[in-house]
Amino acid sequence: MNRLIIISILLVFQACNFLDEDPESVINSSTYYKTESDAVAATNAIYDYLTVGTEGIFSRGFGGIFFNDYWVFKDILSDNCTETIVSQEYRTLNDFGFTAENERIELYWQKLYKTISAANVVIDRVPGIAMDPAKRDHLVAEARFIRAMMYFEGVRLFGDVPLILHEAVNLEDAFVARTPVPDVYNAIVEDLEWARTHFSTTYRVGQGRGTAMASRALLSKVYLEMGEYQQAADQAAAVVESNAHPLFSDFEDIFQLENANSGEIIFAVNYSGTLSQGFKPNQYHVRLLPPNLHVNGEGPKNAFGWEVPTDDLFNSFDPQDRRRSVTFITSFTYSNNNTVTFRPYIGKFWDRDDEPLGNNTDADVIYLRTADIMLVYAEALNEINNGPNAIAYDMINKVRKRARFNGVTELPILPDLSGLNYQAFKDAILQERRWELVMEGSRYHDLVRMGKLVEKVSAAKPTATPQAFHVLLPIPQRERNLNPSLTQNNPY
Amino acid sequence: MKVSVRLLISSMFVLCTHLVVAQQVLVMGTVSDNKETLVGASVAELGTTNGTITDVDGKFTLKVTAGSKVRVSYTGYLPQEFTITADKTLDVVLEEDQELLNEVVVIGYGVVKKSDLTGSVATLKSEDYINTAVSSIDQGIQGKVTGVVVAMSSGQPGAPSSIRIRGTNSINGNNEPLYVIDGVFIVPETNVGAVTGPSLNPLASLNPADIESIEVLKDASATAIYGTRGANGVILVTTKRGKKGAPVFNINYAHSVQELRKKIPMLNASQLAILGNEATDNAGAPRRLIYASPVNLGVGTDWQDQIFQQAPMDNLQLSARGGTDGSTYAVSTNFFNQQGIIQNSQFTKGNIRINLDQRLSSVFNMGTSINVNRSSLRGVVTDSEGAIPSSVTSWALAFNPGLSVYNNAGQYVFENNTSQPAVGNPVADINKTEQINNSTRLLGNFFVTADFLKKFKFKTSIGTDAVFLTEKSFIPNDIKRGQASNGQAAIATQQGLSWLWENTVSYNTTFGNHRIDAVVGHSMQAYRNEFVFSATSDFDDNRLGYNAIQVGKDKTLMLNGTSGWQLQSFLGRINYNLMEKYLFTLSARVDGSSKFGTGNRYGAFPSFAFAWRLKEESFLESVDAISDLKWRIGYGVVGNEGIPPYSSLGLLETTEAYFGENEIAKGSGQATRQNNALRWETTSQFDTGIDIGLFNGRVTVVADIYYKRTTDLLLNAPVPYTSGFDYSFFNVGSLENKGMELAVNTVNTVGDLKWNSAVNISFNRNKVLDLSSDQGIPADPMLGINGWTAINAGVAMGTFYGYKTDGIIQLNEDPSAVARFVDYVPTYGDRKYVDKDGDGDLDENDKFVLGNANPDFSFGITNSVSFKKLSLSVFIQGVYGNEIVNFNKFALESFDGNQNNSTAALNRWTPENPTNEYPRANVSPRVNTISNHHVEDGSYLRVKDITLAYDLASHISKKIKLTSCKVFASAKNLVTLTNYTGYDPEVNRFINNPRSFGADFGSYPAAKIFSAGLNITF
Repeated sequence: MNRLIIISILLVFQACNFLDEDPESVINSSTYYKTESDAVAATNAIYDYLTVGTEGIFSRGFGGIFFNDYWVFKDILSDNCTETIVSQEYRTLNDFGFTAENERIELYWQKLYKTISAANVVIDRVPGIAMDPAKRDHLVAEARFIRAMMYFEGVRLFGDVPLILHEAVNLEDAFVARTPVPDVYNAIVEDLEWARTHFSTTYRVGQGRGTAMASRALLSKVYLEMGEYQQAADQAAAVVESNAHPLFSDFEDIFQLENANSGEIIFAVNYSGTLSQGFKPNQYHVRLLPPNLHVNGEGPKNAFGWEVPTDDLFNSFDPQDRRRSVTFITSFTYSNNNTVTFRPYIGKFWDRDDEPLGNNTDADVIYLRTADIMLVYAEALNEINNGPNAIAYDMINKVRKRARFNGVTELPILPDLSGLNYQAFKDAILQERRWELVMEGSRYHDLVRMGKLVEKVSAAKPTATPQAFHVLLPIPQRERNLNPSLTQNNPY
Repeated sequence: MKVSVRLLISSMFVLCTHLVVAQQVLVMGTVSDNKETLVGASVAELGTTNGTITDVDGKFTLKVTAGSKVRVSYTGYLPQEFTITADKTLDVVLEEDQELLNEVVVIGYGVVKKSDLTGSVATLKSEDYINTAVSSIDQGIQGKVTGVVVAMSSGQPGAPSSIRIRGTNSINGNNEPLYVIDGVFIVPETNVGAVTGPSLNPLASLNPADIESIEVLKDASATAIYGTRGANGVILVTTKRGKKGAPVFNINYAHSVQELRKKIPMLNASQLAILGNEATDNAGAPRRLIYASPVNLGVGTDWQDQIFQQAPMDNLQLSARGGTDGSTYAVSTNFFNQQGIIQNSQFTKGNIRINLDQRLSSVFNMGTSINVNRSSLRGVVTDSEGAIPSSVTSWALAFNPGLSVYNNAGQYVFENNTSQPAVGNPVADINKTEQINNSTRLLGNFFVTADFLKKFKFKTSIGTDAVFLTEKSFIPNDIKRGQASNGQAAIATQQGLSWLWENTVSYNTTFGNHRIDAVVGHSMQAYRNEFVFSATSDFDDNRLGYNAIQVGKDKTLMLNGTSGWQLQSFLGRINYNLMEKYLFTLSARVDGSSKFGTGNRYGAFPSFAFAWRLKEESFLESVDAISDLKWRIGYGVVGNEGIPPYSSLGLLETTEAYFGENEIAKGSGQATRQNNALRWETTSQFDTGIDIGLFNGRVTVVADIYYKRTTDLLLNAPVPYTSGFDYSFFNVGSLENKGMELAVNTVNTVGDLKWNSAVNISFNRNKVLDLSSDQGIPADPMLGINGWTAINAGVAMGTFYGYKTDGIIQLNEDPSAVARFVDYVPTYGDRKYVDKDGDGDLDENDKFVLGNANPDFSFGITNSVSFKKLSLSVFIQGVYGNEIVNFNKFALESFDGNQNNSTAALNRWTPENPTNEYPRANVSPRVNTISNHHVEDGSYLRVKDITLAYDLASHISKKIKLTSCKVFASAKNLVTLTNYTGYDPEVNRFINNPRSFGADFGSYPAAKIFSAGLNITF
């Protein structure tokens, strides 16, 4: 008996650390960020939040911004596309009836800050890790490049946004007010300049990671939005003149899988159906390709055609413009030569030779490519000189020349532009960008930048009711409920 | 109250000054029962503190005042009293008190006589709760105990109920009471997630017929001995043990038939087509082909009839109990099989229990209880609604009656593609989707007791609760549910093992009129869980299903993990009984939990209670009408540690991204926020009550009032996304529950015709006192509706918010003058809503409080009548004053022609039918506007059970020595009075999510059950 009691007491005292927690299947962050491999893993995490994220497939928050909303938002919030999905959230975006309660807008905000905070962790913690300084700087450059991408999204969509540049160690660090637009832009420029000068040319090069050239390309777009035209032109010139990313000769080649991360493509957010398990490829084909074509093992599988081009967009193309036949799909021919035709859907991202079924795609989301930067260059020059100069014409005409090439020969369409005044050239840029960049995350920003949102959308989509205030999206209500210091964009 | 306190204080003074010297006489002797001498029996001079106890030989010596009364008593025996006038030798033979044995109440780490109870504890004996045609005890105690509300999360056979004792104490997920089965703490097991819909009920692993008694510990003085796990109340389950004597065999068999309580009246095919055409016409959209000729469509398919069925249920129980002098045994087995009222849903289980007790020597005893259970739940997809309808009940209601189950080729019709989004054929789904949940659970303990130094008892007990769970699901590629994935399969296994080691020393002594029962102890418990979860999709071949998930080409998920927690506790309690009149209880537990921040792991949980048995006072002695009167008061502090392990740590998650065509980039991102300050949630509770017995116990009344306050509420609260997280665990605020409980039992008639009644009623009011942020905590969005309920300071949890309808826009009104939402321009026939702030816009500021999920009161009424061998019991149960958000109504009253609607659509607004109740048909309305139209009164009164039994034993017993042979017939949920328009008012989809309870959405409806059976004892 006494022995039992003694044993019990001994066991109790031995069990001093009985209550310590040891999570064996997950890592406790307080023991992390010590080694080079920790630094690499922390940097790699940013890309998961950027592309897909770690929320489950059935979670409402599944997918990073590039998974679908980055390219869906910019074209349904415009005259380019109509939304056919029943979801109220997308429908109200299409119709400009959205409110601060819109779940898609809320999730867009969430993904931006999830990615920013993963970048902040790297920017704060990696410099303290003992490792090769060049590699260390490169990892921080990757993080700062992506943080700049995220704030560029945030500032263009929401205007003033909370500018958080460090890991929110204490929760109070996250309860901050909105930072004025110019300060956000300054932070973006600072990130991109730092990244540009610290990217390695030998370690973790490209393949979906930032580069010095990508930093310049993004800087040109950032400066253009800021109205800093000379700097926009300088950066764009550096990109174009380097000839590091020459235009493909055929518009179709941009979207061929074999050309991924090469040629004209300066930076793409990388996805891979081949390497991934589960539902991690981006949703290009699920959302854009025509439904119901998959018969007897042929035709796009699991496609729903939710975002469809407006007639206004489709009819704006010259019928022989290479970009029309590449951008849209209007018929499909089965191996038995049976052809079905249908309304236009967006088919440009579908490399049908490599991926005949379309699902589980390897396609990347192209974020920066040379044609875009050439048009940025032309637009900036037009602003600087209050009219196009020779270089501006050269830039836009090179883009048009490529569109004349039908894969075999150059057609007598889309003649070179000349003799335009400031406004006519500006309009031509807007038109050219529309033809060139369908569903590439551009149209809404172009319309807003050029002051044409209400005019163009009203003309193309009679059911939509765009108004002047729609140049910004509302700050998500959830965030304002939690953080009362967040003001709302008028008059949401 | 004031009077009582004064009485108490004055009686204390009396106690201190009572000794008056008088003539002393000596009384000596022995105390025994029929077999042996009784050690520690109490011999006391009545009305004084003078007394002694018998020694190891059962002998005693006591000096008393001449002419005084001496009372000889021993727990479990009838006391005897003697008047002593001169020196005397008494050899007392006490008789066992069968009545009193029944009056023993199990409390934590001990038992007390019911009359000595100081806390609020309710006892249910096996005969008091329903144990036929139920698979687990939770279903049997509903309406039987005051302060306890049992809510069904799903009508799926085998699905768990949810029990709330005295309201909702916590705003995190854990509001379930602690279950302690024969001293073993049950670990609430969670699903891995490979199957959709309800999980397996952990209490189903116990056979209700094995249970001797259920004690519900409600107030803090009773639960404080369970420390950190006592805040939600404690349910102690004691199983039947063997008794010395010849074996007693019992066979119980019941067969039942279950059916749907009611169908929702739906439109037939032609009515829907007319609606659909009107909806497109009103919106200026083209008519749909499928509705081309309404008159020819006729009635069509009744989809509810296609999925619901009359379902059988069988329950067979066998037991044997008995024992010899030193050894007793109770063994039993149970087989239970229940088909669900939705075809292809089923719950099957088997149990084996062995309870053994062995006397090893005069000092040592040992015993064991072992329960092995195998449960298998075959589910259909219900209770699964998120953003889109996916429950088969929702599909059956939405499906166009103009379509048939099979097409001309004899294959299942694939989908109803007019609905948005298209829903699948529910008949194909219930037949082809497989959702299996198997569990093997071992619950056992082993204990040794040792009596030493006469008054001490040491007990060491080792217990385990081990659960082996397998979840399997398969959705083939040829039904709608499998369309996007082209077939998907998932399989998960989980092993959960907890062990518990407890050592207690108890001390009992009586000296004079003082009696002390004390216990101290130490408890250690650890839990470890390991799981493996894999899923694949894209199947070319459906045949192997979940048995070979590698057939799926896309490896959707490969996941495994482990987690665990540890608890270490020190506990103690003293019960002090003075003169059988004044009862004091002091208890405390110090608990340490691994789940909290390193500096905040240990918490101390004390309690104090006092009870005064007024009937023992001289001023009530002569009041014959009052046979018992006791006043109780208690206060204590208990805790809640019901959060997941590692909640205070910052955890990393594994990430994966891809660079180029060949590089998989694994990474580590931050998944949770570190919070070292995380600490206990504590509930302090004050309770006072009165127990009254009248007319020789013909009427007993137990009444309690209580006030509970929970502070440092643990919540996985939303945080700004700018932090990089969406939720994080905090201690955020406080809330209160206060209430009253009243239970009255009466013996109305005695003799051949016996009629007993039991009535109970409970009131609870819940209020959130403060949250650390000004903003409330909104519910999870449902159908895109944010904030349909929210936790807000100043109001009860489960408060519903939405717009108030204001009739329909009639032709003589100006639609442009009606308040509108920014995204919808209303016209004639559209619903109007009250513009609360009068600004012409409808927005968040125009929402009203529309109701509350908490009932004003709940009640149960049992009447039992027996005449000779025939007995009838009728049990009525209900709740009053709660509301239910009927999310099904959004689909049932969409009036868009996309999906089938309820017959409410027949009364829709048209220029010819200018109703103010229902809007016009419209193919593109503003969807999902929550209003008072969707918040319904959830009150109900239902005849929960009627049982008629007849004992045949006397007719046939002579031949085969039957003790009893009862035949019985019963009906459950036979009559229900309610205004609720859904399938059943006993519905609470998200009961385990305190941010979202009180909803009905795609639920598996509760059934009406008719049973007949036989119970033989010999």
